Amino acid sequence: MNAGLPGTGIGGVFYLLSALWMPFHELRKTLRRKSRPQRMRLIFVQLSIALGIIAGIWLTGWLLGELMMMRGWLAFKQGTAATATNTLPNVIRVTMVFLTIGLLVVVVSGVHILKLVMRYRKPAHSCNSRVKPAAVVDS
Amino acid sequence: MSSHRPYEHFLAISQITHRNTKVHALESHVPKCFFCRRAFCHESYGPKTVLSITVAMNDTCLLEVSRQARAPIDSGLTVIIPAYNEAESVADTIRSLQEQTRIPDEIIIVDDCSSDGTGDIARTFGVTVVRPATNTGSKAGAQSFALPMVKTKFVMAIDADTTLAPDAIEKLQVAFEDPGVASACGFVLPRRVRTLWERGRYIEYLFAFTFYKQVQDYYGKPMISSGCFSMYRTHVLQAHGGWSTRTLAEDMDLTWTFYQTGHKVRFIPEAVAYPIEPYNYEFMSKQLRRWSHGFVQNVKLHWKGLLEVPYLRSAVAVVTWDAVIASLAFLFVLPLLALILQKPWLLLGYIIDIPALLIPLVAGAWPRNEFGRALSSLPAFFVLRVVNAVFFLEAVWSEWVRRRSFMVYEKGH
Repeated sequence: MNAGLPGTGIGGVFYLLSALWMPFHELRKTLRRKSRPQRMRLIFVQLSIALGIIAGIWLTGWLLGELMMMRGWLAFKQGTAATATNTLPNVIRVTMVFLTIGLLVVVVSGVHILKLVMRYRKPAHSCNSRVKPAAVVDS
Repeated sequence: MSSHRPYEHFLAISQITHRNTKVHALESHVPKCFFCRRAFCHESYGPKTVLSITVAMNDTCLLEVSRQARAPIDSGLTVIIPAYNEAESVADTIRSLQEQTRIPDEIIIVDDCSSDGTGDIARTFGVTVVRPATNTGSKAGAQSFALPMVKTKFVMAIDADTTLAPDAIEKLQVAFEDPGVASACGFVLPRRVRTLWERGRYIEYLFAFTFYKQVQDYYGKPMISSGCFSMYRTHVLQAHGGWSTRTLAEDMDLTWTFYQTGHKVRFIPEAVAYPIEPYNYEFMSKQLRRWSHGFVQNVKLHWKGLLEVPYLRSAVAVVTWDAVIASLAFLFVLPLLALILQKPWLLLGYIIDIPALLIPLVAGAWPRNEFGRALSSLPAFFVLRVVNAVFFLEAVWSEWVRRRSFMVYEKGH
């Protein structure tokens, strides 16, 4: 069912940002009078999940950092480490987060650029021989 | 009371009765005559009452009443069940369909030359059983074999090892109130959660259907209308040639084709289906091989067309990136880094995203009272994820690098 590896990589960040964007997207729809009240619950639930994930990741990073600090301190006390550092890495560094988001931006922008290139190269392409002319819609 | 003939009045009642044979289902809406809008009270609205009224009004035999009620149904539904050696599970599937709050008008079993008596079992339930002259070779082939026989406005495809929640069809059909919707799918959860593989799949589904797929649906682009449980507008499906056999993931192929032709696809989380998932490595490997090759084949086939589909193009791009890069990181980069740098804590990378998984899992499991099951199944997911990575890399290598397309449909489950 699911291609890719759920939870890992830029895919997870993509859906996280998509969920965080929902209220703004809905606001835009509201201004255009295209909003639907029944979507509010979905937005609330998904936004809560996204915020929960962020909190969970931050908590994990903090906990791991604390654990490693403790390990370094113990090593220092036993004389097996030269120095106990109080700058041991917070495992989820801000730079890592920005790196992942940056990578996501590169991939998504790459797709957009590819779209423009393909439009320029072949203005009226038909990608799929099976596709019939658009929108057969019921009355 | 009304300006139309009694027969027309009765027909309107019969239609509603036929669609909702259970009295409690009728209570969800006030039944009205289609012509004069007269409402009927519940006391006089049981199926038996309606039949006695119709006989009195029209003096028609019950069989005729039934047929008249069937023919003009505007939202008729046929269910196609492709089945190859599904004797163990097909009875449960048919039973679950016949116990729906919205009973299908016709159930067609495509007995794809089974050798275990699948067709005979299906016939005992009074459903239509068709059998092609030779095995069609794939689920898509079997489904498309039955498609020309469908005369109703809607058609549903369901696997022969899948059962539905009692109100699944009723909930799913709501999606088609929007005339632009060509297909709708529901929430899928494994029926059995016992072995390592079933548990891993349970977490995968619970996570994806609670988080990813609902976000996709908000932006109007669910990535796949799942093959094991989806409903379609029949004429749109027929106009697209049914389910294609050109890739191993016919559901993904069809969904992406719908988007490119301007149709909508919906995901309805309230409609729940329970398929039997692979319980051992042998079946799981067949299924993963089919899915991973199917995904790569679809990306190869549709990539140009997908560029014109907002949101989906980004979703597919990041999924493809992850399928390749995250798989490489999982299988090679992490263990090598831990070994070369002599830092075993780097192996925490395999489980570092537990909180990212846990939050949607809790959100999905809590309302279902499955929190304990989800928590106990979580370790199995990490095993399945690594195995997934192996199969994806193999598919990418085979389909993109070596350009050898794998087209053998091996039944997994």
